[in-house]
Amino acid sequence: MHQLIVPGSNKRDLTIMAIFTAVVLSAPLWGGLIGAGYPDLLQKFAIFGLFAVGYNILFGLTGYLSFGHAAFLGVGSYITVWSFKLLSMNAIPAVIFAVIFSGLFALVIGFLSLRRTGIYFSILTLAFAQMSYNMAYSVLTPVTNGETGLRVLNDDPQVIDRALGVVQDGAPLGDFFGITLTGWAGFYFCAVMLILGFWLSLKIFRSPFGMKLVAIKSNQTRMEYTGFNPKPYLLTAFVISGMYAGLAGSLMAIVDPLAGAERMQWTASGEVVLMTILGGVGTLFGPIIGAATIKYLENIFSAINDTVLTNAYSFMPDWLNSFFVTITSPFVGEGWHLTLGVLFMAIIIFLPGGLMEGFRRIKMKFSGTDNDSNAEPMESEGGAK
Amino acid sequence: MDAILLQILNGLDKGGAYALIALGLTLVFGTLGVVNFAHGALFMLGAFVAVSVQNILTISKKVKDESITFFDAYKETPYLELWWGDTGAAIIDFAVPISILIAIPVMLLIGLAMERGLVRHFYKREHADQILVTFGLAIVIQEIVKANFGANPIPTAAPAAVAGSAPIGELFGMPGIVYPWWRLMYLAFALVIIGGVFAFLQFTTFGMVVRAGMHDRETVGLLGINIERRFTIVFGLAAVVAGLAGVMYTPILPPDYHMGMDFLVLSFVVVVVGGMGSLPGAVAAGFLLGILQSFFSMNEVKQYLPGIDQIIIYLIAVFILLVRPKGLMGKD
Amino acid sequence: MSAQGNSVLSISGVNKTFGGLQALSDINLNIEEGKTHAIIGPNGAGKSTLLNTCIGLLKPDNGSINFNGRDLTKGMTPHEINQAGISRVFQTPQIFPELSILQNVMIPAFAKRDGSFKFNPFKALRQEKQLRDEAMSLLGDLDMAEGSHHHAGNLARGNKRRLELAMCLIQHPKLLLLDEPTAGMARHDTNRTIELLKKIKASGMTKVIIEHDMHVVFSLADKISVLAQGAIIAEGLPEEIKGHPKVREAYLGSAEV
Repeated sequence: MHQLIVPGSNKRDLTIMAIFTAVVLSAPLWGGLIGAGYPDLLQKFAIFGLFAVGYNILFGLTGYLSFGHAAFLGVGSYITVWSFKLLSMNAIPAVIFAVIFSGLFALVIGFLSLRRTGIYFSILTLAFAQMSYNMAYSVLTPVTNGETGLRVLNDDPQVIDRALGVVQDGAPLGDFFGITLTGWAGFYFCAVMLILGFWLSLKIFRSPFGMKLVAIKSNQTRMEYTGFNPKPYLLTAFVISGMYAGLAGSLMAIVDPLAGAERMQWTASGEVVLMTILGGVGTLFGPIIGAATIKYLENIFSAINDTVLTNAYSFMPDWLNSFFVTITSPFVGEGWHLTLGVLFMAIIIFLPGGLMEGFRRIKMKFSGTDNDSNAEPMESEGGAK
Repeated sequence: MDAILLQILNGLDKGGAYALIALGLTLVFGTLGVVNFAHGALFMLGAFVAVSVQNILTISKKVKDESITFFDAYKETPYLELWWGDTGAAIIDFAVPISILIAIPVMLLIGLAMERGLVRHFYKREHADQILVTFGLAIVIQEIVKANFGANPIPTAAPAAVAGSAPIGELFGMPGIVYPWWRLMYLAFALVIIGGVFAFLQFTTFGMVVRAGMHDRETVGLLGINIERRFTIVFGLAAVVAGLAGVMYTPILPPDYHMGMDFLVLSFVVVVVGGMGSLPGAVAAGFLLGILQSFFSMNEVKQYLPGIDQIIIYLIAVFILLVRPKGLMGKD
Repeated sequence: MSAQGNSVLSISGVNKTFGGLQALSDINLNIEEGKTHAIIGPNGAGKSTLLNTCIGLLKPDNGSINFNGRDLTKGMTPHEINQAGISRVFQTPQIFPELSILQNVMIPAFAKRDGSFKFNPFKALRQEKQLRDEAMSLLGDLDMAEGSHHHAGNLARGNKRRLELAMCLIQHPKLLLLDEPTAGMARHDTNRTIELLKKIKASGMTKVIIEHDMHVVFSLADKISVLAQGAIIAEGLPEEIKGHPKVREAYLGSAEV
């Protein structure tokens, strides 16, 4: 067991934020070194990182497994495009409304789903996710435009833009007070959101609130008999994570203004679960590492096809070459999902603590300390009671 | 009135599939305490056993088509037809029923392998871990099928002898209403399997131990009964049931690689509505929800409540989970 | 000097049936302030049912349950029970294994100070100086201050029980419920627990203790009620209960005195 909730210190937390901010903002510089030097991919790191950070606050801290968060992602996207259509191409109102609406949606779904615990809770979220997905393709077509997806059109009202005389020529693109949010500008917008989102999660991890969430997971009965009502805590965590998902969905639509319902399928929720677990469920950095790793691998694996494989194995004799191409080809290109599934299973079976757990074990091997080594005494500091 | 009868029959069909899948899910959850998200994949694998059998039986070679004289035309003709003429064709025609026989040992093996290889290591772990690892397995199985069979649904026909429709309406004093023979057979088949499972549980010693284990696993274990081996067999049984449901369903719905997931979500909902841990509940809820879904797909209904057929099952599940979490017939 | 017979929890005429089974018949109990009241009885006598009904978790069929002026017969949730002033200890020590010992004790302190729900992610845990000091002080009294940053999950059972008691004590409950506190303990641990409970008793806390171990009962109890088949068959001072014929009969001589 390792301690999830460490008290940290003012100095330490500031250092964490400083380093994190520096790493994220400088990504365009070092990204190229690992073959990730282009804006689209880095945007994805940030967006899915944000999604996973939020999801971790629910699943990682409380242990409640939700299959419905993809629905909030979808809501964020749709609301953003509607903001583009009705108000302005400016990203700020889009983000604000996306977060508010996904928060409200999460409030309703969370309230209903949390009437039950464990597997029943999970199935409830699953049911709601599928309902949302189905409705997006059928009843709600006027709002979502069904299978075609929702786009910004030339004759959209865009009330604010027209009032201010803001005109965009060409295809409508997310905008930040005159800066078009594609490419690197798009990345930096997402990066700032990620930094803010990470900062908030750091606060939660360091707060009594975060500790209480972990306590709920640790022993819910004891929590109740100690005088805490777990429901409002769980609902708060659920809504917070829903808002993160909404923000992520909003950013997706900002850098690429199209909203589609396929993001809302419950199996899409599976991807964020995988990211959180791969990185290290319940840890501070795990979700972001997991998200970045998955998107990075996806980028590499999806691009590989048989030709690339044949070239890679060119040092082998022909017969061996064909053999290796045949056995590795199902795992690349279209078969990326197969690799993902296998990776998923491997992590849960062999390393349920994820990459963070892996790093920790390696560190322990080298420093030869015992299991409890990162238990930290809490220094009291700063602030009045 | 005739429309209603048709909808009921439609619903019973689909409901039969739900009931069979839910039955297996409940067996595994009630006896082994494991939530198996790969169960839908077993349904899908059964369907693809039928597809594979069909593929094997129709391995063909190009044969000159004598009926076309003004240029050389070749027709893909199955070997079986070449060797055995009409009998060969008949065998091919009966691909689906033959698949049923083949599916039983195949699905049993797959089920045993799944249990021994993976599931049994997760008995002691939390439900969340069980869900996740079986979810991962479902994705892997799904992707392997997709890689080998392509992404499109593969039509599989019922034997020509039963391809037509039965004058079912006459039984109910409504002449003129017909319903496909195969679908009626599916319903009968589903009932037979369900009956078989229940009989097995009720009338055999093995079944008695399983029922006891569903009631109180710890005590049964303490009695010195080798519960592990029985778990494996129960899992295998559940796999066979799901697989057979899939095999027989192929003429009704052309199999494709994601049918497992599609049916799985609905089946979980069925299990929850029926009451987790209750076998009769799972079966009853399966048929009930199948019929309800059918009714709400009727145009008359869809006029007033568009899209309701897609979400009615989920709405009912939500309602039940909130109002009567035990489900219709659940214990605990 | 507290007033004699100041009642903290008074139960009268309580009945409870489950299906066809009469689990509790005509229970009358009066728990006095500052006293340690033990409830003993053979297995199946209904002690757990009694405990759960007393604190309002189960609703009685009839009768009245009055805790500190509050009616508990309407059915309460566990957190409401605690906020009303009742803390309890479970047969198997219920603590938070994933948190540190100090954090384990701080959680109940938060509940006491802030109520059943509070949300403020912006104040760090390490800034809660007063609560931390209070928790450390209590741990110090119980000889657990050293290593308080280690995981509670690593503690031996006897120490888990100590920790659990600390978690209850920091809330200054009006009533402390102990559900077989020495169950499964070796003699050495049992004695340590008795010493600790004596210390708690000396501070004037009102306690209800359900126990099988007669040594524990007679070391601590001011008053004993004997429960058999859902009814109280005897009640009185320890000396009175020791030789009581009905008690012996109920246990069929299985009491170890």
